[in-house]
Amino acid sequence: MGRDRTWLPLGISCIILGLAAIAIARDYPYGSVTAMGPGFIPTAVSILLIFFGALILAGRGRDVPESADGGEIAAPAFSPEGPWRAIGSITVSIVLFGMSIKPLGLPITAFLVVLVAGYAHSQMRIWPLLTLAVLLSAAATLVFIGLLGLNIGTLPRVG
Amino acid sequence: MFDFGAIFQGLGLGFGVAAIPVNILFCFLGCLVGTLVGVLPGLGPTATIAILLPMTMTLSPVTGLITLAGIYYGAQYGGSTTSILLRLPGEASSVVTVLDGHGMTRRGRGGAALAIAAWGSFFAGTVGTLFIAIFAPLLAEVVLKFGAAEYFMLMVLGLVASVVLAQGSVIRALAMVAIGLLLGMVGTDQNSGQYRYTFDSLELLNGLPFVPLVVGLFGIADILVALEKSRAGEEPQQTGAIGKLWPTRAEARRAAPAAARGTLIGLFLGLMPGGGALMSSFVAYSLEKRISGKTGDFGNGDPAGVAAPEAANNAGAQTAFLPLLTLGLPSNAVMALMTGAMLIHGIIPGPRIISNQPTLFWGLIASMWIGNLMLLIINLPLVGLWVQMLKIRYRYLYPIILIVSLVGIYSVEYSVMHVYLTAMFGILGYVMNRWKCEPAPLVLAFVLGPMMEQYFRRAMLVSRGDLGIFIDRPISLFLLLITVALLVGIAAPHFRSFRNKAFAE
Repeated sequence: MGRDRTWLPLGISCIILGLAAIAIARDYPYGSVTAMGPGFIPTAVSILLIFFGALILAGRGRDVPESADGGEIAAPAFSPEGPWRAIGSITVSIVLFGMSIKPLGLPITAFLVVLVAGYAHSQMRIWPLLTLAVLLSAAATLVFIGLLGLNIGTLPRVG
Repeated sequence: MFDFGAIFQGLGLGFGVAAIPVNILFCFLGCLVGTLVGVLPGLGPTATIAILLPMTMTLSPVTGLITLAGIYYGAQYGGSTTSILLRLPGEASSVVTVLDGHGMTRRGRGGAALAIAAWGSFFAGTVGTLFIAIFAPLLAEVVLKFGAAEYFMLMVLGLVASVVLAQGSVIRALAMVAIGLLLGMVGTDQNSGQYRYTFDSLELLNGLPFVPLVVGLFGIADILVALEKSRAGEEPQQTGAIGKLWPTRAEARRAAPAAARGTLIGLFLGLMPGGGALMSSFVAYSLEKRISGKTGDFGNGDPAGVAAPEAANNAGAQTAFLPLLTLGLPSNAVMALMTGAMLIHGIIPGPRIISNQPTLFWGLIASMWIGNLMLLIINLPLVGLWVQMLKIRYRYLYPIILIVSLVGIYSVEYSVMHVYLTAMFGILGYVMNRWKCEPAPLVLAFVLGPMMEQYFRRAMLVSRGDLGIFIDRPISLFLLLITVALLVGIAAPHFRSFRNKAFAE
């Protein structure tokens, strides 16, 4: 059992985010209380955020119940069991979708996205994954372009 | 006080709208797809609605909202099904249903438990719909007299209440509110035309798009969290026998009064911001526990323990629409999604909806009832099919969810940028989950933020910069006092221990 340890990164992130938001808002006219400029409220909310961040730091994790691991991940972050495998491959698959949907069209894009996203699950085997990718690619094309008539290309754009 | 003539006229208009074939069809599809996704392991109503939200964007506003409402009821019902048959509550509000629901399943009465849940929900839904039809016009009339100062205080109260009455750390939720407010400021300032936090991106001039935000925070983040949990290995679920779908006379006699009591509790607690549905099912369950005393087999498959919380959470789910449709105040994450959907369609939720968009308002109310009826007609017979869905392994499921989400986001504006934003908010949602922060307050603040800023600046303009305007006006002062009381209450140790106990279950 351990007390929550996530308060430190969380509190610091809130304060950094608040400070950054204030710094950016310095470029916006502040105005007066009667006629507020666009910079007034962002600055006020940022100060609130910094205040809450400070409170989280002051609470030192007493604001959430204790948990077995104190909120930390047991496995090392970059090991196959760590969270980076899932975060990495899902994020890459989404970015891949964004990059290829226009030039390559839906069927090829969906196939590639499923292949990359499949890597996120440690127990995924290659043949079931390939089958799933082909099936999903066909089903998505059929439903979204055939049935719903979305304006997405089916084939790679030439030239 | 009540203008029943107008209410009947309104309901007539509403059923006229809801009963046109297109709307019936989409209400049906919404319920069907909502249940389908709702029973899938690990997908609660909020994630379901977020993922399917883009698909409704191409429909007309009325049809789109009717579909969303159908998805909402379907997803809720799907959650009950998995609690009863599998001990897997799909959402927090059906956690207590597990105790007696799965208890009935263990005795081979799972089918009866499902039927009791469905009938109880239908009864509660009917009463809830009537409740909204009667009180919404009344409340809207009162709210129409509100000025900028009252509106601002009302929204502050709504945000604070939804934080205090929901589960989790209050201080972390308040930090999420602040981040949500900041995210809501991205774009062009309405008063001055100044670009704020746009980072020179043309696509952000109209503000951060809503759909990538919610699909990322609820949908993609859900996948990341579930993938991590599935590391330990997974086995397809074993379902208990469903048995006959018809309760015995004794079971029905036990369930009916419990459903009525649950409905009553749900009606009122559903109005509360934050954990409306959650609190109502919990309170209804503990009331039944007290009533049945030590004599019965409560907790081991008592029909009353299924009927009461299911009726309560459905009544609560229904009346949660009331603050949204009359005050423009979404009280939970699902209502925030509804607000976002309305805003995308150019409809501003609030007291003027009833008079300015009567077809939308009454059509939505009528379709709530039709949606409840459909759940009863289509879902009960299809239970066997839903159970089959549970056998799908998560490793084949999440790629499907991912593709549906991505195509949906992209199809809203055919913008690649929205796809990248989704990835970003997915990571943010995952980090928030790790750091024990709820996404709901962030989304609520994101939706309410721009309106709050407008009202605040207008109030300051009226009072020439005097903050005293919030104290001088009686309604505003009243709202302010409740807000302060809530904040002081959470700091008081007595209330805090009660709250911890209430959410411990």
